Amino acid sequence: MSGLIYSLCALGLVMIGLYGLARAHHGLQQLLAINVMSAGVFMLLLTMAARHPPADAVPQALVLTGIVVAISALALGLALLRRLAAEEAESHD
Amino acid sequence: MSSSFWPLAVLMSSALPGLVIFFIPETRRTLRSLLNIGAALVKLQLVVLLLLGLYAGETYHWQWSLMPGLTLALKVDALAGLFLILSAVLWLLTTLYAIGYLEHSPHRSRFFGFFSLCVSATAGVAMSANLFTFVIFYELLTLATWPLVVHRGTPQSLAAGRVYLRYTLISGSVLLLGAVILHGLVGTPDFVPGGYLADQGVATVWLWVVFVLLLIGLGVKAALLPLHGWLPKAMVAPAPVSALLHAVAVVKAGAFGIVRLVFEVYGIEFASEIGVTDLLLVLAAATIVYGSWRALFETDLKRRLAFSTVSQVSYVALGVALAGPFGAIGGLIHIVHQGVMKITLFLSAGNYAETLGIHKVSEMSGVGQRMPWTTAAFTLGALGMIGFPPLAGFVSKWYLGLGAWEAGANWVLAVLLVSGLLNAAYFLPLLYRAWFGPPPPAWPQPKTLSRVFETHGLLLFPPLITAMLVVLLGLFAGLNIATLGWVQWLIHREFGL
Amino acid sequence: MLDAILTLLILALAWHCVRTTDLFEAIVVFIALGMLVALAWTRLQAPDAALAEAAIGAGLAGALLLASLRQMPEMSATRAPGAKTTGLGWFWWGLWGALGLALVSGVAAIQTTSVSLMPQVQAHLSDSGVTHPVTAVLLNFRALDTALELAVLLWAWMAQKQLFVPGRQTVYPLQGQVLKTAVKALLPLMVLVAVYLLWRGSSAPGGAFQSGAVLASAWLMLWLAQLPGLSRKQGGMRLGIQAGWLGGVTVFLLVGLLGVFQGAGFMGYPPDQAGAWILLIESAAALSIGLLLASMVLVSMPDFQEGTL
Repeated sequence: MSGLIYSLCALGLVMIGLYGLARAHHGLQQLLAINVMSAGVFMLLLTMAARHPPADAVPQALVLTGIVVAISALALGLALLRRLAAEEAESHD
Repeated sequence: MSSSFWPLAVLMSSALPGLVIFFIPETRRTLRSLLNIGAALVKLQLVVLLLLGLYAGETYHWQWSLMPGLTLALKVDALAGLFLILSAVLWLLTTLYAIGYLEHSPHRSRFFGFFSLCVSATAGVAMSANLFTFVIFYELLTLATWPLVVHRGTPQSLAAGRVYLRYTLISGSVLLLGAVILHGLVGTPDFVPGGYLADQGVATVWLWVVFVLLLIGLGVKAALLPLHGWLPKAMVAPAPVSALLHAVAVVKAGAFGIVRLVFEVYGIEFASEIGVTDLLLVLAAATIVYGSWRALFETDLKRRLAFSTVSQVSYVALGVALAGPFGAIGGLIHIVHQGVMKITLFLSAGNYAETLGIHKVSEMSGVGQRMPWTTAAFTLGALGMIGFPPLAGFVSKWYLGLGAWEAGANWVLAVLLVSGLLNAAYFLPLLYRAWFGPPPPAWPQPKTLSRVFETHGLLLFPPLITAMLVVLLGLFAGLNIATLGWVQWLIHREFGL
Repeated sequence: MLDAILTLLILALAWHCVRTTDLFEAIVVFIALGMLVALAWTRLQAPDAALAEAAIGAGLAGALLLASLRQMPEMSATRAPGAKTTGLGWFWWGLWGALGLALVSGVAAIQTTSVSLMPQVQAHLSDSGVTHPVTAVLLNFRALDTALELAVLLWAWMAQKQLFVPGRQTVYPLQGQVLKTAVKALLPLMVLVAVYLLWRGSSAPGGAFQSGAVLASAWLMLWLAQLPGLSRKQGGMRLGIQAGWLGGVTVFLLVGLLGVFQGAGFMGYPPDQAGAWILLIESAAALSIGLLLASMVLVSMPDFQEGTL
C-alpha cells in the first residue's frame, strides 16, 4: 500500500518538476525544477527497492551516488548563473 | 587474447596524443606538430596492419562488461576497416594542412587537441561492436567537434555552434531513446552481419518505431533531408575542420551508422521485408536531388560545397536502401570515395580563401592562372563528384546505377541521372570560370605564403595528394587492395555469395 | 496514514516551489522539501540516502542556492508587465501529457515485475569486506560507479573554479568572539562525528558520503568564523588542498588498478584484504567529498576572494 502511495508521489514530483521546467523564467527556477524531478526519480528507485524486505541495497547505492551527482550539477548550474549575472552586470556598466 | 588489444591501441593512438596536446604551451609549435604527425603516422600504420591481418582471416575484438547485459565492445571488421583507413589517411593529410593553415592563429593547442579527440571518436564509431558502444562514441564525437566548429569564437561561429549543438544533442537523445527501446525489446547483442532482429518475434510496429528513432538520430549527422539544416551553417568553421567534418568525421559517422543499422542490426533482407528500407530510399533520393538543387543557387563557395555534401552523403544511404549487393557496393565505396573527393574540394577552397581571399563563386574567375596546381586538384575533385570516368566518383555511381537496375527501381536511376546533371550544372561553370575566365585586376586579399609554390607548401600538397587518390581509386578500383576490391569481398560475406 | 500525509505535503511543497515567482521563497520551500523527502526515505527503509539527502540535498544545496541568489539580478522571475500571460503552449502540454502517460504505464509495468538484486548482494556480502550491504555495493560490487561519481564531483568543481569571477560587492562575514569560540569548541566534535560515521559505514548506515558532508560543514564553519581553514595563502595548505581535491579519485583508481595485478580485475579486491582497502578508499573519498563540497559552497559566497582557494 505505502509502495503505491510513494510511486504515485514519485510520479507527481517528476510531473511537477517537468511543468516547472517548462514555465520557468529564471535559471534558478529551472535548476529547482530539475532537482524536484530528480527527487522524484530517487523516490521511485527507493520505492522499488523497498518492495521486499530487506530493502534492495543496489538502488539505494544508486540514489546515494545520484545525490552527489545532483549536487554537483546544481553547484555547476549555479556557478554558470552567477557568471551570467556578472557578465550582464559588466555589460550594463 | 592477443588480438583483443589492437582496437584499443587504434583508439588510444589518437586519444592519448590528443590529451597531451592540450597541455603543450602555445608557442611550442614544433613539438606539437611532431607529436601530432607522429600520432597520425602511428595510427595509419596500425590501421594498415589491422587491415592486412583482417585480410588474412584474423579477428579483432575487445570487450569490457560494464554490467550484466551491457558491454563496451570494439571490433575491427571489414566495414570498420573501410572507415578506419579513410579516417587515418585523411587525418594525416588534414593535420598537415591544419598546421599550415593555422600558422599564426591563437589557441592552436586547443584546436589540435580536439582535432585528435574528434578522430579518436570517429575511430570509436567505426569500431563499435554494439549499439550501446556506438551511441557513446557518437555522442563523444558531437562533444569533440563542437569546440572545432566554434574555434574562431566570433558571434557568427558561436551562433553556428549553437545550431550544431541543438541539432546533434537532440538527435543524440533520440538515438539513445531508440537504442534503449531496442535494448528493452531484445537486449544489446553485438552487431552481426545479417542482423539480429529477424526471428526475434518483435512486433513490426516496434521495429518501425525503433528504426525511425534511430534514423532520426543518425540522420542529423548524415544530413538527411529534413535534418540537414546545421551543415551549411557549420561552414563558418576553419577550412580543415569543414574538410574533416564533411569528408570523415561527423557526416560519415551518420552514414556509417545507417550502414551498421541496416546491415548488422536489422539485416538487409529483414529490413526490406518489413519495408523500412523503402522509407530510407525515399528520404535519401529526396535529399540527393534537394541538396544538388540548393547547391546550384549558392553563391558562397563553401556553402555550395556544403549542399553538395548534403546530396552526396545520401548516396551512401541510397546504396544501402537499395537492398541488393550492387547497391550496397556502390554505397560503401562512396563512403571512401566521397570522402577523398570532398576533402580535395574543401582543402582547395581553403587555399583560395587563405591565399587570395576568395570566398564567393563569382570571385573565382581566372584563378586557374594564378593558382594552377590548386585549381587542378579542385578540378579533379569536382569532375569526380560529377562522375566522370575513370575517376573515383564514377565507380560508386556506376555500382549505384547497377544496384537500382537490379532492384528494379527505375525511378532511382532517374534520380541518379538528375543529380548527376545538377552536379555538372553547379560544378562545370565554376571550373570553366576558374580556368578560362579573365582574372580580376586585383584579388580580394592576396598574401604571399611561399616563394616557391603558389601557396604555403603545407596547404598545397595535401589537396594534391587527395586529388591523386581520386584518380588512383578510380583507375585501380579493381585491385584487391583498392576500395572496390575490398568492398566486394565485404559484400560477398554480407550477402553470403 | 503517515505516508499519505507525508506524500501530500511533499507534493504540495513541490508544487509551491515551482509555482512561486519569488525566488527566495522558492529556495526556502525547496530546502523544506529536501527535509521532508529525507523523512520519506527513512520510511522507505533507506537511512543512508536519508542521511545524505538531509545533509547534502537540503543543507548544502540550500547554502549554495541562498548564497547564489544574492548575486543574481533582482527578480527576473516575473514577466515583464504587458507581456502575454498565456500559460504553456499546447505543444508543451502535449509533451507533458504524453510523458505522464508513458511514465504511468512504465511504473505500472515495474510494479508487477519484482526484480531484486538483494539475494546476489547477500550471497557475496561475506566476501566484500564489510557487513553493511549499501557500503558493499558502493565500494565493492559497483565500485566503478562510485569512482566515476567522485570524478564527476571533481570535474564539476574544476568547471566552477574556471567560471569564477571576483565579485564586486564587499559583504562582511559574521564576526565575533562568541562565534569563534563556539566553532573552536564544535570543531573537534564534528571531526569526531565524521570519523564515527565513516567507521560505522562498514556495518551500519553511514559512510563516505555522510562523513564528507559533515566535514564540509565543519570547513564552512571555520570559514564563516574567519578561522584559518581553507586559505591557500599559507604555502603548505595550498598543496594539501589540491591533494585533497584529487585524493579521492586517485586513491580509488590506484587501488582499482592494484586489483588488476592481484588478479581480481579492475576495481576488484581479494576478499581477505577488501575491508582494509575499502576503509582506505572511504577515508580518502570522505576527505575529498568534504573538501570539494565545501569549496563549491565557498566559491558561491558573494564575498569570496580570488586566491583563497
